[in-house]
Amino acid sequence: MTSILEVKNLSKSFRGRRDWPWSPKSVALEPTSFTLAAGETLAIMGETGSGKSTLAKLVAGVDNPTSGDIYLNGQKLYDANTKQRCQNIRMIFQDSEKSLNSQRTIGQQLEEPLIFNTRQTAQERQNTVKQTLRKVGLLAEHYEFYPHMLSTGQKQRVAIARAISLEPQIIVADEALVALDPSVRAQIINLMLDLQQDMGISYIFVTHSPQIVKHIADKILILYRGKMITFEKTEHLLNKPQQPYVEQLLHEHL
Amino acid sequence: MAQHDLYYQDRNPSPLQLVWYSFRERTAAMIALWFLIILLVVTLASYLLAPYDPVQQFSDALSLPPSWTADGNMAFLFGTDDLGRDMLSRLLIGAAYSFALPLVIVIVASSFGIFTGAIAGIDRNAKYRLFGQVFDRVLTIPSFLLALVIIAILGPGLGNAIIAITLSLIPQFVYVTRNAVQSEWKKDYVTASRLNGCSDTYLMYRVIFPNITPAMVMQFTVALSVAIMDIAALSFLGLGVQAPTPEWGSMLARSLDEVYLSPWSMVLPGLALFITITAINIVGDSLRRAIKQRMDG
Repeated sequence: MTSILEVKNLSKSFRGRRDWPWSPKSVALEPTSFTLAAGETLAIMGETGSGKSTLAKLVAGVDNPTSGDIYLNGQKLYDANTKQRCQNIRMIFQDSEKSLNSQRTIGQQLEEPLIFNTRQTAQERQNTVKQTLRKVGLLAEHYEFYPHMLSTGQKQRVAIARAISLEPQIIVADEALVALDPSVRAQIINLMLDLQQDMGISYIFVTHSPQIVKHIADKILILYRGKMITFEKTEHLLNKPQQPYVEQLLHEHL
Repeated sequence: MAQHDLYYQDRNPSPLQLVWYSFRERTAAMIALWFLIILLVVTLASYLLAPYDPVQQFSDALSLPPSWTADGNMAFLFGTDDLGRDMLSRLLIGAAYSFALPLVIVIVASSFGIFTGAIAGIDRNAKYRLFGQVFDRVLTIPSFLLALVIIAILGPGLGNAIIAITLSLIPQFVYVTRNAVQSEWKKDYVTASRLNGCSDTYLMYRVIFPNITPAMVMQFTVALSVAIMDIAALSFLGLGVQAPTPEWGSMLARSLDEVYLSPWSMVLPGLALFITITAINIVGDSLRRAIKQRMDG
């Protein structure tokens, strides 16, 4: 399988709250490289503060990296070119409630990516949105709803609908399943796996639940204090004895 | 009637509409709001409603008490002042200076201030950060003092008072908008919209703006009562509206000399100011409570 995403020496360092030139730098992510093939699922694991969210945000384009490059299908992604990135890499946030604009209807919000990335007319956009809503197990009527009228699970489905409406190649999910209760979580995982089969999407999951990782991930990337310590196929990691930190991450909550 | 369509709701009130529903249930707030609406209509029609010219002097009716007292005359409903000018006409025309003018001032100041504040909030250039710091310092000066300083430079007069009050109100709008935009900017839904590829203008007007409307509306009501007070205070000090023009503040100042002889000439404009500002504050406060109630669920 050829890789669609190639991350080369991506790193990020922050200065303190006040961004003076002389304030000390703290490194959130040391140079990290990995590749992702079409239709593959990558899980990024690590303890709190290990830089896993930072890595996800860099790939999704929320933050700009301090150094390093991202290649998509062999093409370099530039920080300034949001169009190129957002058509192919989409992000699902940890808290679906906060990631939806409470003052606008679901339909208006789902049309947003279509307005800026396609040449569809208003009518076509509305049809696309309604189709997408059905794809994620909602009704076309939800077009008129405001976020506060939906349950948490439904909001997460809306967030997924927003991510898939441009038919991207990669979806980055930053702890997207944490806030859900177990049954809804199972539904959402199944939905995402179905969509992966139908549309050939690659996922990058940031999570710390070993059960989910074992269930869905093809590869696992483990970070420790901003440093990548393992990047391997799931079976390899699970069947080989590992260093204590990795063991602990993979066998938590069992 | 049987409801055939069980699932689909025809009316999906938006969060802003829900705030209005909550506001509508408050009696005091609705009375105050209706008072302000009626006041606005009366103000706009004041030149038609006023029975006399506000500067016309009736030499045969000097310091005439209001019509409901024993010495009153129905021809002068609220009586006359010491120069024989009809109080009702003066109050009505005065509303244009004391209520409509501050309203216009606040609209101008808010549109400029909100626009500037939005740019300052969205742009992270050092230039705008410096701009923000400067405005933060300007804000430590009370707006009335700021207006006085500007008057001291420009000289007294209605036009200068308008300029002074407008300029002194703008920093507050800039500050409130900038802070609101900056705090919204960090939230996930804005990031999500940014990742949708939205342009900055779209982000500002369609994404962030609906979420900061409550803060803007509240700042608007606060600024309105401040503007009314400021223009009345400036006129009272003789720095704003000049002598024959009937402004509530200048009417108060004029009545100081004969407050024991004709108390109505002081009470009536004072009451007008008091009720108007109270109504604005009630509307603003109820709005804040309605929004808070809405946000708490």
